[in-house]
This record gives sequence, structure tokens and C-alpha cells, in this order.
Amino acid sequence: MVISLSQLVYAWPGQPPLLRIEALTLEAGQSLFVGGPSGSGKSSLLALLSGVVLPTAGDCQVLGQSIASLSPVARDRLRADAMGIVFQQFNLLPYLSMMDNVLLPVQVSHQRLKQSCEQYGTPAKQAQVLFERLGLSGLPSSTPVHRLSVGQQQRVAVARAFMGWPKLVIADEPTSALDDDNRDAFLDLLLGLANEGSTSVVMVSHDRRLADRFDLQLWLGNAKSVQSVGVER
Amino acid sequence: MIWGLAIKSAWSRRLGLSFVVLSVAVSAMLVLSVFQLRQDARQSFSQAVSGVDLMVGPRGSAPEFLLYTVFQLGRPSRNVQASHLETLENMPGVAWAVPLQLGDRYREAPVWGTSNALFDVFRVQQQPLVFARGRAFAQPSADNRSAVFELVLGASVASRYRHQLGEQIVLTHGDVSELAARHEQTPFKVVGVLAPTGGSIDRAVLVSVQGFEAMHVGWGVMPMGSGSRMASVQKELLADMPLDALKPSSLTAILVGLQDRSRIFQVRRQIENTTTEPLMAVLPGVTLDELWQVLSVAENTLLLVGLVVSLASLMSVAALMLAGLSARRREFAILRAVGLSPGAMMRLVMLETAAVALVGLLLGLLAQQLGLMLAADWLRQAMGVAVRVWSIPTDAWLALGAMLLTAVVIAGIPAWRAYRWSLSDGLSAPQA
Repeated sequence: MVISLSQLVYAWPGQPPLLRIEALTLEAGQSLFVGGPSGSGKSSLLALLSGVVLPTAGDCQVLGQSIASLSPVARDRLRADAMGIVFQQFNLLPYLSMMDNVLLPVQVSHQRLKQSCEQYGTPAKQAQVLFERLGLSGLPSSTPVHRLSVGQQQRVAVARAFMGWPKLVIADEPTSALDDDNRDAFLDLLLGLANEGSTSVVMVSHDRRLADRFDLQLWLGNAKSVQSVGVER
Repeated sequence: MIWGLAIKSAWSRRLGLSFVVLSVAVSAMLVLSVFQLRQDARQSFSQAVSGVDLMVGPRGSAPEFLLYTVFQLGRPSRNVQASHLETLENMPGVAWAVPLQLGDRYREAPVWGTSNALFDVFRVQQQPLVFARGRAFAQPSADNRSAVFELVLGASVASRYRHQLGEQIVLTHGDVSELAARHEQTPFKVVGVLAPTGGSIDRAVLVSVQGFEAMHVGWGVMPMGSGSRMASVQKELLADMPLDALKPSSLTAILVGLQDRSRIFQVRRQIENTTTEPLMAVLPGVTLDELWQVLSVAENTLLLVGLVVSLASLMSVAALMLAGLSARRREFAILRAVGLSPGAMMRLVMLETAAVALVGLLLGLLAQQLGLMLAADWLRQAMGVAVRVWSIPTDAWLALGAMLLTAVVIAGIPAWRAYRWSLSDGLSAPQA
């Protein structure tokens, strides 16, 4: 079990609950689509899963560990070792090359470095493999990231998320800056890679059309009327 | 790994950071210069006369006596009998005694009536006197009567009035004023020009005591300014006068050097116990040092200004770093996403600010020393301050250390901000 939530409540300090989830489980290799209007707590859910914030009430387990019971250091460790994260935009450090950006996770996490080395020999080799899969192999790996198009940048971010094969990839509106063609191709690549590495994916989007491509869908309601949340198969 | 990132990140913002470095460097330069000039000015002042162990004059105020004899400032004190010169020369423990006669001027420059032994024993900031051109005036003797009217120029006087060797110069009587009588009948010939020392001797004109005396022969007898008649009388008097008669009867001061400096207080007591006339023997270095302490108010004000400026510059470092920080918010969010802790963000910022301050301080130190090296000659000649490169006083190091410490503390402000942000931003990194 990669994710297990029960009776989860989250609220910003001093505000009414923003997010309330009765129960949710995500198995290894499964993908979850999280949809809902703005302000429905989508981003808060991702922050909870990645251990950046703590639940107000209830339990949030990631890879068998309860987030709330971990120390801040252990939560940072868990994120470094087991998660890849893709933002909506501006995922890359402008002062690093495409390759150096992708190599960041294996520099922070020894576990992912080991995984990458065992499988590919060196992390740079895995990066090359990922670049190939993502259609970036035409670019020299020393390319400065500001020379990349938005679509290319998002794909580099995906390559970084999958370095050393983490157990969970979290994506926050990764397609919102892309046009329709790019968006579909991006999703193919993301889910294809997840399938390859038996990696679980949690993706937040306001674009309902994408939901069908995921194993699970979670619809979050409006913040004002915090309502129960259904999980459909 | 964090070091490599810090360097690459800083390099990508090199333009902004280089301004921060420059601002720290400038304030470090300022503080260091204040400290060092303070030290060197003090040293230069108290060593304005070195090599002279005791300055003997009539009993009175030692600072006043020194200010007049060394810098020709203030009113002249009473004179001492010239006979003491011989007594002092023969006193046990005394290596040499040189007369000093003041009172006349050449334009702005004071005339020192002395003996040519002065050129061997006098030192400014421990440097002996050197001739830029020509030679010392000769000791007047029966077969060298013309030596009476030989004259040596200090460096500034020579360059200011552009005098050449062999030129004839007329001195004026007493203090400079429109009405001052000129020693028209006794022109002097320039025989030597001294190299610059930074001391008051640069602004002086040196003649023998006999020459000094010769200028005034007959002046007491005839009423002042009685023109051509007096002039001819003086000429006649001088022509007939035996050289011995040109010995002065009184002197402004007598400079004394000792065989053994450790006996200075015994010799001093001996001089001051002279029964014929109440005398005073002053240790020039000590008294000048005491005088300098009067100036400590100005000195401390300078210091305070330097410290305030450096504090202000360090605050501006914090301000610049804070301003630059918001541009790095995305960077922090990305690093946080790959698993760096908020503490790591904080270290990153703190490290950078401290490094920038350190580089700035070192740059300032180098630039300041280089500047001193280039300005040393000018400072010595124009200001009379002998600066020494790399002789940074201990308190300047302390001030630099304090600046570095303050910089690290101030670095805590942006660092703490970065820490708070990386907690509160969560994953929803702000859009660039």
C-alpha cells in the first residue's frame, strides 16, 4: 500500500476544515486522479502526501509510515527517497543544465542513487534512457534549461521525478501550461513510465477529460460545503 | 552537494552579489583606513623627532616648548644660555649636543640656526637625513668664513619656491608680516637641499648658528629700519669681527643624544639640576605622545564614523540579500520538493551571505593595502604621515572580525526568512 488515508481532515490554522477524506487507499503501481474546483483542497492533499504539512486530524500513511508520527527530518527523507514531484510550471533550477536538474534527486537520496546505479550503472545513464523515452534525446544534456520549451521543461521535470524509480510520483497540474496535443503526449509518457517502474502516480488537475486515464478518481468538493468524498473505481 | 548548488546558484546571480561584495569592500576599506591612519598618524607625530633623546630648554611647559621647537607652533619660550651647549657636550653619558636657534623666517619657512652636526644625528621617523642635492653647510672656521652664509633648504621649501643650488636668499627677521625687516645685508647661498622626510624639517631653512648670529649683528645698536646707514654699519662690523664673536649668547633649545639610552633619566636629572639656570630636559617621543592624546577626541570621532558606516553597509547587505531572496522562492520550492530540508535552505542562504561578506572584507583589505602602497609617498610628503603597508593594527583586525561576525548574524535575517518560506510555501511554489 503506497497511500492510505482514513478520517483525514486538513485545515489551515484558524480556518474551517478545507479537506475531509473518509478513506482512500492507493496500491503500488496504481494511479489516482484528483479533481475539483479551485480551493477544494487539491494542493493541500498533495502537501499532506509529500509530508510538507501535517493533517489536522485523522491518519495519513505513505508507504506504511504515518506522516504525523515522523520527525521533520524523516519526512524530508521520505520525500527525497520515495517521491518524485512535478509542478505546474517552472520545475527546473535555471542555473543548472538539463542533466544536472535531472540528477538532483540522486544527489539528495542515497537510496535512489543506489537504485539507479544497480539498474543502469550510473545515474547519467538512467537520465539518458529517460530522455530517450521522453523524446528529449535530441538535445545535448548540457542544454541550459531556459532554452527549453515549456513542454520540454515539463518532460525534463518528469525525467527528474522518475530518477532512481521512486515509489510515488506526485504531479500538481502538470499539464495546465501545455496545449492539447502536448498534454495527451505528456500524460502518455507520465503514465507509461509509472507503469514501467510500478510507480504510483497522484495527479491533480482541473481538467476532467483526463480523469478516465487513471485507475482511481477522487473528486473534491467546494471548500464551503465540505462534503464526503467518493472514490470510484 | 549543497556546496556545489550554492556556488552555481550564487554564480547565476553574480551581478547582484558583486554589488553586495563591493559595498562590503568599500566599508572595510574605510574602517581599515581609519584604523591604520590613526595608528600611523600617531606614530608619525610622536616620531617627528627621533634620534634626539632629550631636548633641553628653559624650565616651563614641556608641550609648549616642543610645539615651538619641533613644529614652530605657538609663542617662543625664553632662551637658554649658549654656554650650556659646552657643558652638555662634556656631561658624562652625552654623545652629542646640537644647538637650535629659532625666530627668523624665510617667507613662511622657519629658519633653524644649528650646527652641521645636526645632519648626522637628526632623524625623522627613524630615518636619517639625506641630501637630494648639494651638501650640508660647512662649519664656519677662520679659513672658511664664507661658510657663515651657507644655507640648506628643507624639501618642501625647495620645491615650493623652486630654488636652485648657488642661489642667493634673503631671510626676514622675526615672524612673517608685511612689516618684517629683511636681512638684506646678509644674503645666504643655497648649498644643499634635503630629501623629503615627512617631518617639520621639510618646511625649514637651515643655517649655522654663526650665520644666524651674523644676520643680527648691529641690530641691537641701531634703531630698526634705519636703512642704508645701518646697512653699511652692519657690513663694517661683520668684516672686522672675529669668528668667535659670532657665537650666540643664547639658544632656543639644545638637542642632546646619549651614549646609552638606558641612562636617560640620570642624564635628565643631571641637566635639570644645573644650578646656573633652571633647565628642562624633555623626552620628545613621550611628550609628543602625550600631546597626541589631546587629539583623541577627533580620533575617536573618526573611528565612530568608520564603524557606523560599516554597520550601515552591513545592513544594506542584509537588505540586498532580502530583496534577492524573493526571486529565489521558486528555487527553494524546487529544492524542497527533491527532499532538502528547510534547515538546508537556511544554511544555503546563511552560507552565501557570510561568504559574500568574507569576500568583500578580503577584497577591501587588499584594495586598502594596495591604495596605501600607492599613496604612501604622497602621504609622507604632503601629510607627514609615514604609512606602512601590512602593518595593520590589532584593533583593525578586531574591527574586521567584528564586521564578519555582524555579517554572519545579519545573514540570519534572510536565512530565517528562507526557512519560514520553505515551511509555509509547501508544495504550492509561487509562480515566478
